[in-house]
Amino acid sequence: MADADWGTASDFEDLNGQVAIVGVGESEHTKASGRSDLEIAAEAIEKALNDAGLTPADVDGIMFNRGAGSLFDAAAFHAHFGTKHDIWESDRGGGMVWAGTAPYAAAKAFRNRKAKVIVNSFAVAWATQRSSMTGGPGKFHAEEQFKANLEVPFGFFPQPVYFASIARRHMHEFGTTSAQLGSIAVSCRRHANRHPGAVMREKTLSLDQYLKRPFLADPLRVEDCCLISDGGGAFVMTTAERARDTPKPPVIAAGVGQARSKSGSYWSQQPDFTATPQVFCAPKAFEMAGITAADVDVLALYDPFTIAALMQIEDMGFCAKGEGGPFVEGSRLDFDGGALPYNTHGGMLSHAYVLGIAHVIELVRQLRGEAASQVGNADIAVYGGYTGHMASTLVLRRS
Amino acid sequence: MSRFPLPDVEWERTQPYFEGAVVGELRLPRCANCAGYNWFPPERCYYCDSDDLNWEACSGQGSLFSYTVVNRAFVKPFKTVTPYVTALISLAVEPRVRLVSYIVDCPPSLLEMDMPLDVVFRPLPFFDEGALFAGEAPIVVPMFRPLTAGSAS
Ligand SMILES: [Zn+2]
Repeated sequence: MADADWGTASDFEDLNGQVAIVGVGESEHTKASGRSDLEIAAEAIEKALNDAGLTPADVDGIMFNRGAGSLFDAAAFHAHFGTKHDIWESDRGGGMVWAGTAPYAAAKAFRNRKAKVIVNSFAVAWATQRSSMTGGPGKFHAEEQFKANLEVPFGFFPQPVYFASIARRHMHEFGTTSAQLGSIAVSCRRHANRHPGAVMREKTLSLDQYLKRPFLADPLRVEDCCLISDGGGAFVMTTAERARDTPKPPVIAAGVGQARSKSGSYWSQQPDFTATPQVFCAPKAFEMAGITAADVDVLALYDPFTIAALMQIEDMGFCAKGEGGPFVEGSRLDFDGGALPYNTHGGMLSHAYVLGIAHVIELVRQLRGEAASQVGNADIAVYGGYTGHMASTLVLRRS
Repeated sequence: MSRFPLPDVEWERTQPYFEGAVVGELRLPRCANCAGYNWFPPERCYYCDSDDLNWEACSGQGSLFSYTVVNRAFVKPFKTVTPYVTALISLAVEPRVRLVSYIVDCPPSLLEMDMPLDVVFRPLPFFDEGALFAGEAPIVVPMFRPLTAGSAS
């Protein structure tokens, strides 16, 4: 049964207007590249600094994540760029939910005069590591002891199985259909086909083709699941005042929120099985930004699976709970004329599996007017991060 | 240390669950304060925060909360096991408990959401002939099958 008490939002101070994103950069996104995640992160950071018109010596803050992917800290920065100056560092950055909350940690660092220019980066070499069996997205789930004892031996592993059972329950409770899930995959693929850096740039997908594909774990097909690829991204943040001097139009962080479910990362045990913690944090972020869901011009969601996107669309209030299926149907998520332009770079389903950092980069490009699939008059963009028991919401606006 | 994908049956937090299965009992931690069954085994009751939890045998009747038919093995040890049905089972005595297990004795085409189920105790499929741990002493666990008049326990 749904339990209103199953999660909570963090109490965040107002950051509206304090932080600007002034540079973005992405590595190449590839199948197994043989490169390390640090090399990939460095490529993305170089491009982001170039985009911002800054040099490595200008960077006095760096953010990364310890849990997964690259750990590009101050030492890695100095090793790569040959610099020596003091750099503030924070491990509350990287991809996933932290791609959304990094601006919040940056705002604090700016206020406390810890840094003036902060780079957040995230990269994975999971395509490479998977072929050598040294890591990959299933690693954590295989090692946690409750999962290892009470889920894995029973075939409830890895992530596609969790989300297949969630999708089936969503279908049962709300009448969601395969064609509706497929619409999400098809829109993402269409966007990736138009994006120069997308892994799936050359491979088209129609809804008919989708529906004829076999089930991996029913009701999910391969096309409902994210890619595995090597790649990374980085974005440069500074104060809104400093951003006035940068070459590209700055993008302003207007609202941020973060929430967690009390069932930890045990999807099997989440009381409200077909919901995400976006229900707790999206309203807070929207309120901070002074917007409603109707004001959002372009949306990017952390999308390991089609169903994960569908639930977030509902939970963020773009439609009522259970009405996500009809809401996404047909081409309603397309960048050109869709009701809600969504993952206009192709997302993790079709662009690349860089766990959300490319989503934020794409939104910055949309608000600058330089996206490959540009949404007309894009003023407000929203990123939704969702990693198991945590979710985050970031509202960005054109300056 | 367990051997993937086998459970570590001696890990104290879940040991009674596996011990119960050996003697044909479904055992779960029950709260002495509010009488609720808890799952996964917590340190304190999910419902009332009491730490007075004791493992007790309970009825294995429940219903099919959700499931998926896994057609392709995501990792090697499951190759000899696919296709299989992995499911979440809501218990009749405590619908807030959601167990994870296999559905057996039922072709996938006959599965229906919320259908009544009953527990059976079977060895994990990794001990079957040709499977990864064939020939070793099997680990018996609770599994579920459709509830019929004859199977009510
Ligand atoms: Zn209790």
